[in-house]
Amino acid sequence: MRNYILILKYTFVDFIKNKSYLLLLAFGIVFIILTRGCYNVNYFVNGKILDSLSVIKHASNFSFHIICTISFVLSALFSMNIFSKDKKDGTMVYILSKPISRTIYILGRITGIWFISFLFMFVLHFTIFAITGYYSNNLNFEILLASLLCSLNLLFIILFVSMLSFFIPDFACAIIGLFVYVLSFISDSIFLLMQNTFLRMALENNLNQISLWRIFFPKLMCLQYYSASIINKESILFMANINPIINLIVYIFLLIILLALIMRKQEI
Amino acid sequence: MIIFDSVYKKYSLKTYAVKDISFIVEDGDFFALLGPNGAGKTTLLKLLLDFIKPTKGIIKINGLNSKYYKARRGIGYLSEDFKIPFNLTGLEFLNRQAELCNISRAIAKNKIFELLEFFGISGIEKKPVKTYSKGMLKRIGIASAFLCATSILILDEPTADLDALGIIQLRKALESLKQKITVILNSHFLSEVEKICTTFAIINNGKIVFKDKMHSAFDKGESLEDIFIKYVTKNNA
Repeated sequence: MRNYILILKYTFVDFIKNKSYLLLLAFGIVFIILTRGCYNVNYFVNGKILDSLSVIKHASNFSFHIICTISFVLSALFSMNIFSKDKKDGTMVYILSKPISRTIYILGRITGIWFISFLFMFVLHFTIFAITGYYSNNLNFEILLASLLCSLNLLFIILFVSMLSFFIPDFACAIIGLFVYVLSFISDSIFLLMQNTFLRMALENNLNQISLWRIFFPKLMCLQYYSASIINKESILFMANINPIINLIVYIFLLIILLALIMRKQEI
Repeated sequence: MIIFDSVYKKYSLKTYAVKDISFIVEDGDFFALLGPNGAGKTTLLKLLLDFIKPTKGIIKINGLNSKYYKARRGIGYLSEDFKIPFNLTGLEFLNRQAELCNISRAIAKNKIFELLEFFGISGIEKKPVKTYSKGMLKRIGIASAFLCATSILILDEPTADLDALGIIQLRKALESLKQKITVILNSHFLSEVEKICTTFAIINNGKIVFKDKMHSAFDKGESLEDIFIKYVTKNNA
């Protein structure tokens, strides 16, 4: 446990020292603060003025999804070269020449990157939380809970991309990771859209018949929609009634096992 | 005690990096691994540290199979192409080494200070590694290996990149460890090996071709250089 915490600490400290990370975070916060005007504007829909709570709800919902997506992309970029860089700069040798198991090393590195990515997302979501709290005079703690839930998406992509990085070039891993996200976006969004009765009637076919791959595909976007539904205090339907949290936890466990097995066979 | 028992490492169908390697390094031995380039010396050290897996055979460190990470307890290691992540300073790197070796902060602070003084690198430790020369980097590497070595010290080509003073300092540092810990030295500097080591093995084409105590070889009136040339050229012929 001690060694795991040490490796996690080194990963975290090395990343925090990186000025571009801090700059990106500061830029994100400033950008969100600059968009605070969107929460306090009169919008007209069908000639009627939208009430302020609806405006806040939609603006925060939109920002929530944008932050999740940006954090997802950044996580893919952060994790694409953790192990290849460790191999190149001697980190792998200096850690694994000590009495430290390869699994502990992998877990320390992965959770370190996860913390970094989650910190980025959480700080930005917290800014949204503060802005909505200010304009609605009501603290919506569900935003923070939703952010916590979406961190599973980040862990998934970090594990997925770093696992691929043992076999294919770094940037290709990140691209494949993002492709999985886009595929999940298409599949889960279509599913949610098809829950609309009017749309189903208009299309007049069985588009809501779900193929098996869609049921078992990583539910990244579904988890994001589910998290947003918590913020909005709404309920959504899941494909084949499988909760996206369970779907992702299964994937995360499988990826951890796979990554540990790959690392065991790695030559340093 | 380190035991290599019929160890093979195969890279392709016909290419063996090391073949049927069996030898024992006794506790407190200063063991030199000699051989021409590409003979398999570094492969043996990597096998010992479980960086690569043997195709066949067993390696034991103090009674534990080397594939268990706990077998690496008390080992200090300097790799042939020693590197430090560029974002660290020398001191940060040494502190991390001490933490990973489970050395208490107070002891580590004193030990690091002593090692930096001894290897003539005090004053640069707070500068980023990217500003170091090759020699400075190597000295930091040697210091880190000494810091963690409580039972076994493994040095892979420690004299490469070192100036004459550095080589003398290293020899003195190694002499101070005699009878205290086991040292495995992979070096091309035969004159230095002759001065420091108690046992040696010559490896060529992945096989141990000769192993003896240093004094037994000298008793026969042969120098290390003579023996090296004899066994390396004989096996290459």
